[in-house]
Amino acid sequence: MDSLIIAERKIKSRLFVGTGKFSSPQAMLAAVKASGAEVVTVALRRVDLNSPQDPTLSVLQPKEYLILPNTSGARDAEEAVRVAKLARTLSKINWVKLEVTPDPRYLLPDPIETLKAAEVLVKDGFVVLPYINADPILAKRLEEVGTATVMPLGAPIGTNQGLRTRDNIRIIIEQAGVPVVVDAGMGAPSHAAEAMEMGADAVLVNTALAVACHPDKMAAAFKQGVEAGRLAYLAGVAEPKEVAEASSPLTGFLTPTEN
Amino acid sequence: MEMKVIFMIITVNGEKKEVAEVLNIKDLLDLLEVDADTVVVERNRDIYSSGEYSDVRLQANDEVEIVRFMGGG
Repeated sequence: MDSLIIAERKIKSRLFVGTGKFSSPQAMLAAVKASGAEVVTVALRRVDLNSPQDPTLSVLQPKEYLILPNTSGARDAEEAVRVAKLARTLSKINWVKLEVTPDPRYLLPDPIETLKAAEVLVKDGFVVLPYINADPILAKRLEEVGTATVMPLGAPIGTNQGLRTRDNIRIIIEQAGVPVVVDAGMGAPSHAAEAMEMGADAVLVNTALAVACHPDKMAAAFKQGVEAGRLAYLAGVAEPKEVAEASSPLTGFLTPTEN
Repeated sequence: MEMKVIFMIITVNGEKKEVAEVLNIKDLLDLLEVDADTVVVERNRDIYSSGEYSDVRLQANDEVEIVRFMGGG
């Protein structure tokens, strides 16, 4: 596949994966490996003092991946900035997936707080990848404050509904001067393929892998979906037409047409 | 001579804890059996990296957060 570049870093896979909700660290690791992903997201949480051993992420070797911390759990800009700074200290890289979701029911990102936090983090030297609703104007505003990507949602996190926001994602892709990473809501490889066919630069998937009976096989399926979608985009996807257009020649029939 | 240990209350990850008064961040992590390399520590909203843990002495009523990466999307 042609390579993706974010903040001058060449990324080998256009499929990004999350590490949440897997049944075990082994299942997670198998899925991450099968996905071929380089960008792998993680969350920052309090250590459970009653069980202080590191349960999940000790299986991931940071050298093989770009570990992308998210600011999930942050309800406003201030909390997001706080989480981002803690994450940077731990990850020792300055990349952050900015996520500000005040409402737990739909987990939709707060556009105003996201923009505020993005501004602060960019000034502080972060490479910011903001999770946003599929709002083309917001995407441009974030790009203007210096985010490295925009990450519009296809549908709310964990809903597996596919690209419910496709019309706006299309506009975002058309107008974007930074890579567009479609994030959230994709439940099947065909959803990821559709995003890539439309010209998205990458997709991020978590729940669809984590809840599959075979997360590693689903990860491999998404990898193929993303590659197929990208290849189709580069090849030039045919335009839909209103009426039939024959694939076979319209002359030389055995039965001559009457004059 | 018998040493007298004085205790103080600090808050760690939202829980109140009674700990010996002479304690730095590294001591606290050892006490809680937390692997220092896998966490980042915030004390009263200031972030400390692992190299500084032995130098930062905790005070009564400190609010300490010990966080690490977990699975997330």
